[in-house]
Amino acid sequence: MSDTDDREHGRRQPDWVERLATAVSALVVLAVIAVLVWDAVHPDRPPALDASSGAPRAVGRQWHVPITVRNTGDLAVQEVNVRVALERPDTSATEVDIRIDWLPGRSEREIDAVFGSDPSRGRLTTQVQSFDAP
Amino acid sequence: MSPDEAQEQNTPRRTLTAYGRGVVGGLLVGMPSFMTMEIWWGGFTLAATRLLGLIAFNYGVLLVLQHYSGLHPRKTRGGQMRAALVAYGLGLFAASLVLMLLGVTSLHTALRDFVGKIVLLAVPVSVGASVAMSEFGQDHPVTRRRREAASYLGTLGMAAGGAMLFGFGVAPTDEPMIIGLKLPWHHALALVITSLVQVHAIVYAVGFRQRERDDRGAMQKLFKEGVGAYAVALVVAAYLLWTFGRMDAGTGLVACVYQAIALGFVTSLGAAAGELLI
Repeated sequence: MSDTDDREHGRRQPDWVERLATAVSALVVLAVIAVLVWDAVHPDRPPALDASSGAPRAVGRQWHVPITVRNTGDLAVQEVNVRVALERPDTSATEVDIRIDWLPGRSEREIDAVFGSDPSRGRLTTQVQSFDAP
Repeated sequence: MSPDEAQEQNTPRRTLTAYGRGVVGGLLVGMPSFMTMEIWWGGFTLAATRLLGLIAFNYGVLLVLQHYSGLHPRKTRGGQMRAALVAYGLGLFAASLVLMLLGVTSLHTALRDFVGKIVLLAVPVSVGASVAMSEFGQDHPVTRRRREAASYLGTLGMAAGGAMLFGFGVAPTDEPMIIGLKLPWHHALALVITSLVQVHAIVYAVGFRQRERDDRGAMQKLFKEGVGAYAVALVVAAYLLWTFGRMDAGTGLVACVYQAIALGFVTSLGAAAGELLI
């Protein structure tokens, strides 16, 4: 930009809206940069996954069991496979396989496992079987 | 009250109008990216250092765009630096709001994931906001003059802005990678030639003809601008692919080049039409 442009268009000082918007933008951008710098300098904890089941609820003729899968590490994982197994008192068993596309670090996802009989009459186990750390 | 005083008092309203226009222009450009899952995933898969690099690179592009178009009509050096900052701030704000509206983020989203997502999506919004003045027919006489008298370096700067505008929404998707990895050498070569032809056709159509018709070295300059725009398009394509993790230390050189050629087909359109777009 030439000095002429400065002289022609720089006579007026920024108005209060421009000043305010600049100050707020600078704060927001600095906050974002601070989070990223903090993340960059901290060593990432490897993915750590666990799964737990909630209280079953009857929906029509089926039973839905909320399964919560948590990643307490810092790194994201993909293709998480979780097996939910229901063992009944008569030793018969039903297995439901759940797959989650992505699970970011320090995050959790909740997915319903669906059974044809009341899961509270048996023993329910959940296990993370595999995942891919990209 | 003198006309000058009236205009001075009107300035906050003029600034608010400019920012409103910027948000609309930003959403116009950024909306396809909001609907791209690969960009959401980038929020938590991309390293913080690459996101920081993207913020710095994007600020450079925004400064170029403020010089030749812009968010705000104040065309001083300080005014343009402020406008570039506000354009990115508006991008962060709009990205936060739209992602919440779409249900992509919620109050339960991890902070780092949320920040990563808005940093990425603020890029196309801020680029759109920075070309809002010319996009909505509010071109400033100073910027028009600057574009007409742009140096070779200035033209390449505008090309980088156009390449970002076109390439950002495509770079994180799987397609450039898949196309690049499947390309046989003769297809890659044909893609380079086709990209070069389309770049020259657009550079010629955009305004080169009027500017240089009396110049004996017009064809030489056209070639120089065209090849320069394509080179910028390839560099921007490679940078975006690296940012989104498509090119890493483990990726072979040939795979890197072919991916850049595939995405360069898209970014070259933006690079060539940069002057028209902004």
